[in-house]
Amino acid sequence: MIVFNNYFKVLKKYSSMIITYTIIFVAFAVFATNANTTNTSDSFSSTKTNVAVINRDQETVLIESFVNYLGDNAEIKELKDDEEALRDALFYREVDYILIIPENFTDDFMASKNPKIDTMNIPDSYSMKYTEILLNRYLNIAKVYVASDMDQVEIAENIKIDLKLNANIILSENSNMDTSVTINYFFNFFNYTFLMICVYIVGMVINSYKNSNIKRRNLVSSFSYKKLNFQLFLGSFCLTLAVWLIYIIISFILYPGSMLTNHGLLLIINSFVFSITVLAIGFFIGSVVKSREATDGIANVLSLGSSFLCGAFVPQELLGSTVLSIAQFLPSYWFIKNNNEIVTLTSYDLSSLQPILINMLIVLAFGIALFVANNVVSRLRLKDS
Amino acid sequence: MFWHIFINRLKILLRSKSAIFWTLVFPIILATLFNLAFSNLTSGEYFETIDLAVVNNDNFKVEENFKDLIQSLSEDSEEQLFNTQYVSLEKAKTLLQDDEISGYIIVNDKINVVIKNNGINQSTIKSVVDNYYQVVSVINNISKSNPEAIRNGVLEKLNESTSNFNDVSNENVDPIVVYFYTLIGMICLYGGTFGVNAVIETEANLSKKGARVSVSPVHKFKLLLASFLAAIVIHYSEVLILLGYLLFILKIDLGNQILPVLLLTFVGSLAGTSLGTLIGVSNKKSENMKMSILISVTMLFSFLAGMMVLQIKYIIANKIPVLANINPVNFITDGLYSLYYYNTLDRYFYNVIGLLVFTLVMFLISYIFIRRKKYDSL
Repeated sequence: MIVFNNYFKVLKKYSSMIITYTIIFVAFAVFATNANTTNTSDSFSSTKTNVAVINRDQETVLIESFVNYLGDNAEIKELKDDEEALRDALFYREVDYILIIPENFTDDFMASKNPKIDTMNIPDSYSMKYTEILLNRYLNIAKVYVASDMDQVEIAENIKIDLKLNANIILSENSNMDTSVTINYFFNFFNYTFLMICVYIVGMVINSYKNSNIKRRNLVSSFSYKKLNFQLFLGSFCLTLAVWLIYIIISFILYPGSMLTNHGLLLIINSFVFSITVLAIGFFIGSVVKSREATDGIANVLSLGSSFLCGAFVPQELLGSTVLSIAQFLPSYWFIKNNNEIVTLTSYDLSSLQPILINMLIVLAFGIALFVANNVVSRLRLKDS
Repeated sequence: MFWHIFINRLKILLRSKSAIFWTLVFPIILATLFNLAFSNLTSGEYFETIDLAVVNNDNFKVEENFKDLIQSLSEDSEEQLFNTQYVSLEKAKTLLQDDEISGYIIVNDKINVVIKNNGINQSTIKSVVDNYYQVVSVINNISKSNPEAIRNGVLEKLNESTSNFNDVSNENVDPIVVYFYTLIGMICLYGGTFGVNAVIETEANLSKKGARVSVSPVHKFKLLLASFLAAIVIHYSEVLILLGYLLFILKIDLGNQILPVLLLTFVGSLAGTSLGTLIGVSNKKSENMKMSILISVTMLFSFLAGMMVLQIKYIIANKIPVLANINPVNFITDGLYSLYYYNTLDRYFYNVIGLLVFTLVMFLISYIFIRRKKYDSL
């Protein structure tokens, strides 16, 4: 097992890289989890848009009641009354809608002069439509009350009562109110770091063995070429398995609740199948690509490229159809598609598991094809040297 | 002599394949990937009429006002909210089950909204029905307190919708462009690769080539100047190629003025070279190590400028402004953003000046490292 042992000596050089990428991975996973933890209740709750209110008028009863109403129906964000601060907040979607109540608004409003509120929003967006429905509802009712000669206090009181009336919401059978599926994000992002680490390191180590001088030296030695290749494979396999295990352990630490379920089990199996294919990719690149610089470039392009195209960073449902049809030629696409399908499974009989198994087989088929290609290439290369 | 060094430096840099890959080919690949992956990202934000079903039972047919309301909101106009089908209860159930509609309305003794999951569509349907009830309550209220007013037509005000607001939004609100701006910022800093290289090959204690040129009868300053000039010529050409690719092939919006963009990226290119110079002279690590430092620092700067998660840029600028004001990638990103989003150039110039200060500080510190060096004659 000389080669096998030596494999891990070469590997030591790359340990800092494994740690760096793992840290990036964990940071991203924690961020994604926090960003996507929405309500997990099993009852209906209205969507709340993020609204900022800048009041340039006095603190009047009317405005107070209006802002209170907004607070009940939207998430109010505090912003500085500064042109750039407001526009920046809107651009980066810190808020969806900004209201600027002008001076003398209350006086003009009570005098039925129809004063206008300045608004900034994301034109033609859902958040704009929805927020305007909410705002108009209040303002139009208030206008009617003004026209029927009520004062501010009466208006505020009456509206409070009116707006308590609500539609009756019924949940249909097999409704799914739980919108917090974050665990698949973790495994989708796994595509990036795992591909990067394994393809890079396996590629580099294999490359250092296939490098012409070392290769020739090995070939003339009494050590059989088959044995050498087998031990290289074994080394790479152990490396892949170890890295995969680290990530599974991390997933258990981060999401203990979600991992100890059928979903968790299927995700683990799915990622394991993908690992085998990644091993094949690394092996193939290591034997085909000649220089170390090129291996570096290819590992980066491959991991970033497949992650962008196959939906590791941007969810698949937000990708264009052309992008997805290109992505189908990559194993990552099937791996990520499978992750997304696994977390929406509700039953585990054979017919519902069938598509999941088919996706896994496709991922595995990519791996087998690459192993075969690798064998053909190394045989041809052997003749060359 | 100056031009001789300059031309040869150009040749050396052009022939270093891996440097050209990382500073030109890689950003172009990344830009293409950004373009493919992000092109649909904000499309989910834009409103499309909500698919709704109404159960066409006897109760619904009697509820005239409600029927009118739904009908007016389903008409093909600017204000259209719903795309409504009037169906039987069974049909409504299957439509909801198959996700063909966001929800359905069934009128029994009350008006019920049946939904399957939470979301903005469902909330919109609910708020329309809420509104219907509330209007009924308003009418009751007024007819009790001031029946005279109803006859005077105050209720018409309930249906006025647009006249409450004066929209002062910008037209350019697509945040996706900022990803490309951070990418431009990143490639500018990758100019550091050439800065590192220039220093290593002129400083006697960093490479054999450096030692050799140090004994040649050429003034050190002239040597460095020629090297930097070659580095900037090559690097800025790469930046221009990337800009051209973004502008003409990917059709990324870089604002309406091209000259400020060229100026900003030129200063960005200088900033990158200056950063590389400092990394080159400040330590005696190997060239590979220096490149890793440069790339890690650039990645960190790019991350803080929002390259991976856009909101990071906003959070940093508001919560830790100091960090935004020393980050060259942020200066470039924010400068390009202000050209795209704002009509005035104040903020743009603030960023250009910030970037210039960064460059000067980097060169100044590097100068302290390399001035008046003498080596023992061993």
